[in-house]
Amino acid sequence: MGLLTNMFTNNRRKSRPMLKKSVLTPQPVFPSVQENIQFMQEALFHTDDLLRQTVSIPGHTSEFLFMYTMCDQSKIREEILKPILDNRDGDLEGILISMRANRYDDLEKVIDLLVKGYAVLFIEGMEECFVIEVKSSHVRSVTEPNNEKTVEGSHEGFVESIIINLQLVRKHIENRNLVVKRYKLGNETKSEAVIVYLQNLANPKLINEVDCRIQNIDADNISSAEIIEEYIEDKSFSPFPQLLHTERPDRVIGNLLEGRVVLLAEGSSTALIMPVTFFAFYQSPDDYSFRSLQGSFLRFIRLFSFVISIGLPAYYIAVVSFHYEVIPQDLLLPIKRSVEHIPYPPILEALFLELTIELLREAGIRLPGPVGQTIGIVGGLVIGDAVVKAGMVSNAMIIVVALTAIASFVVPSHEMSASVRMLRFPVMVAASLFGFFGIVYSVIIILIHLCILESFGTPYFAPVAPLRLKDWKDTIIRFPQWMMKQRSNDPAPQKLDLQRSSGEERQGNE
Amino acid sequence: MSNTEYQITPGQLVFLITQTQIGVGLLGLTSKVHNVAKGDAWISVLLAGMLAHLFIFVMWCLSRRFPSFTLYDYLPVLLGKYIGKFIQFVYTAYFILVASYIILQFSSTFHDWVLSNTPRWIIMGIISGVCLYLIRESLRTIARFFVLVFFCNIAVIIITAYAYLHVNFLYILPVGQAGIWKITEGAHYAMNAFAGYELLLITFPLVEGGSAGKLKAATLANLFTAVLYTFAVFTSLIVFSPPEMELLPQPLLYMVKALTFSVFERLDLYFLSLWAVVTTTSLMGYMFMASKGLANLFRAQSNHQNAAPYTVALVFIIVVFFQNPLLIDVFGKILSIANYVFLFGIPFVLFMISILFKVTEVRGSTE
Repeated sequence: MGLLTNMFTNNRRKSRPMLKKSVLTPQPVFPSVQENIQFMQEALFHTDDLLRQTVSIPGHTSEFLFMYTMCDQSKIREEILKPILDNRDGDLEGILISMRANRYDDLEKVIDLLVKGYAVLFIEGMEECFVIEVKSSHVRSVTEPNNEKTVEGSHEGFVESIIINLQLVRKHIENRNLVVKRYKLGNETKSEAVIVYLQNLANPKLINEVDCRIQNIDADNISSAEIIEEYIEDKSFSPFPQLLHTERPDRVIGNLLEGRVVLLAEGSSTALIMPVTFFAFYQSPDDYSFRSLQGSFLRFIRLFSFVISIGLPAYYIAVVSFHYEVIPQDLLLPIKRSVEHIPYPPILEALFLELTIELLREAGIRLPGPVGQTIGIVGGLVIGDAVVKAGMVSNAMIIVVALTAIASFVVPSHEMSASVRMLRFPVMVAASLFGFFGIVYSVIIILIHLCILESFGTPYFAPVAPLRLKDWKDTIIRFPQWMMKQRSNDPAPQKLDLQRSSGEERQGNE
Repeated sequence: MSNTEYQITPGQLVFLITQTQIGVGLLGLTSKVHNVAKGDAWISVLLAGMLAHLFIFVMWCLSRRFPSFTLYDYLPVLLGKYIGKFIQFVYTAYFILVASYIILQFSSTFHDWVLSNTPRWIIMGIISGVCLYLIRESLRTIARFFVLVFFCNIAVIIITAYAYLHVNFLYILPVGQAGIWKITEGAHYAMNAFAGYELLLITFPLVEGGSAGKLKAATLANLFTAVLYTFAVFTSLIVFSPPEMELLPQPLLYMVKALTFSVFERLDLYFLSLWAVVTTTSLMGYMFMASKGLANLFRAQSNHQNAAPYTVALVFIIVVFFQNPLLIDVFGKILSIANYVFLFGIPFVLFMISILFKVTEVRGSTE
């Protein structure tokens, strides 16, 4: 039992004490340039991309070091060589100011900076060395993310640089309350991650919780936001994602303004939003660019797709193998005709087709664009048609599976789509064993799981369980903006009220 | 004890009680009461609802004197250590037996209607497993789930309402045909279906707010149950003629079975699926009470979560070895008598003791 509990509870809320990290003793700068360079080269194990270059500052012997793989040559020219040339007769201070150099006296710190793309200037006889930023950066343009396209609204997307991402966020929330907290994660990778929140909205307990979980990560390799997710989520063995991934700044902004916390990491264009509820995965920025009625309709369709993609194949299997009497008489004959000569039980048919579709999907992703389409045609048309003609799978099953596949891709969030596709298999198996009884009980288990699950202390299935009708204004349906008087309660924001009367209401009063 | 982390709201209490009340009784209720009270069965059910409300009131009066104690906690205070423990044990046994009875009834109904080839112990195993999954959690999570599946009751009402296309109101006339005595006797048979409000004794300290709010919640819950039952019984009475009623063990199911739509047939199968959910929640309610009792037997004021697996295992063992239909009938009769003892007798006696000897909770003693 103890072993089982250990396997299935994964609560990192119980903070464990930080392990003592080995603290490097500071290494003072040597008086001679040669000695310094010697030391640096030793420290970096004579790596070949570490270059040294002598510069002639009048009256001083000086040399600088940089890693050419991390540095921009033109920046070196701009930032280091040009000030020296310009100030041939000027004093050293003037040169250093125009280089925008920082002084350091600890060589250990300098090593870390060197690796990041800084150049280090050593001057004979000085007790300090000078660090100049000459980092090269390759940033792709801020284009719309491929997997979160919208019809209307902003078409910006996050990129792999944390600074640009933060800029995209700050640009839209020009507010002094927007706070950024930095972390260095990974004992080996030391990659940078930030959490962003609005100080006057986000619940302090939530911020503490997030902060605590991130601080407690004690791993060597942290290289992307998705890896951080696994360390800070509540239950890793739950089929449902507990953090929302997005590459869209507008989605991040919307969530920040509801009092949630957003995590960004250097090197990944994905932002993680926490805490989220089940329904957040079914919201899309598109809902807000449409008017309320149309937005609600779309959202309803999406939630309906959840029901279809989990329930439809199971329902069909249950009906065909147990309860064919629920089919009305007129429909009974066509279905009977298509099922009659199939040698396999419906569950095998369904599993075969579902797995084929998963295979096609996976193959379509890996292949380059035009070839991917070919695979779609080959898979969809040829296999679908041939398999029916060969009498291995019934026509009705093809319809059911195709509908299910379409429904499972409607979800705006990629992770939720994956978990829904996975969840329908156990329900199908249960249906094939016990008919409706199996479906009912597997759905009950899913619902219980949703009730149990929490994301950073927020009930995952809010506002349905626990029931809070006020929050339904922005979950299953979307009310007009002026009617949403309060923020949704699930991240427990400090300020619930969102607005006073405006819009149609206001016009009515006047 | 009453840690605010684990408290539920009075609103959630409404759903907890309603869902525990409505369960296996729903299907067999009509025919059981009709056997005695004939066309006045619906009056019997209403009467039973009122009686249940009286019992709730007694329970509330008792619990109010111990606002931060559950039944299990104040039994030793009122009756002394040994008798208190004994009554506590009897209550736990009662809850376990009721849970077993629910599973037995449920599996036999499902066996007869849908899964006639599936071995019964598999159905029993599944329903017990699902129960265990939920009652391992805190009361708050249980309450959330109960609120979530409340829609099943609404769906049951909607499906039943379709039967109004084929009704004959003359069947219930003349009102009062059975006579007061028969109607009262019918109420006795209906009382069993109302059981479930004893949850109030166990959850009283776990609900936020003052005691008036809790009484209101329990009243509302009982009201809903009474209305649902009366509606179901009344509808079956006006759909089937009296001679037909004699023959049908589960009139509700036969009634919805006859309904046809252009897209659905055999509505009874969907109805049974919804009923399965409703019954499971009722079972969960009893399992919760039983495991709370079991936990308290071994260590006072302890949590139900640790005892949950043992309770479920115990119930499962009982139902697997106890499947003789005749025995189940006797079992049901015994429980329907025991009902009065546990829901009214003991709480009333406890209340009297508490008043006569002026025993109430000493403020601050528990903290």
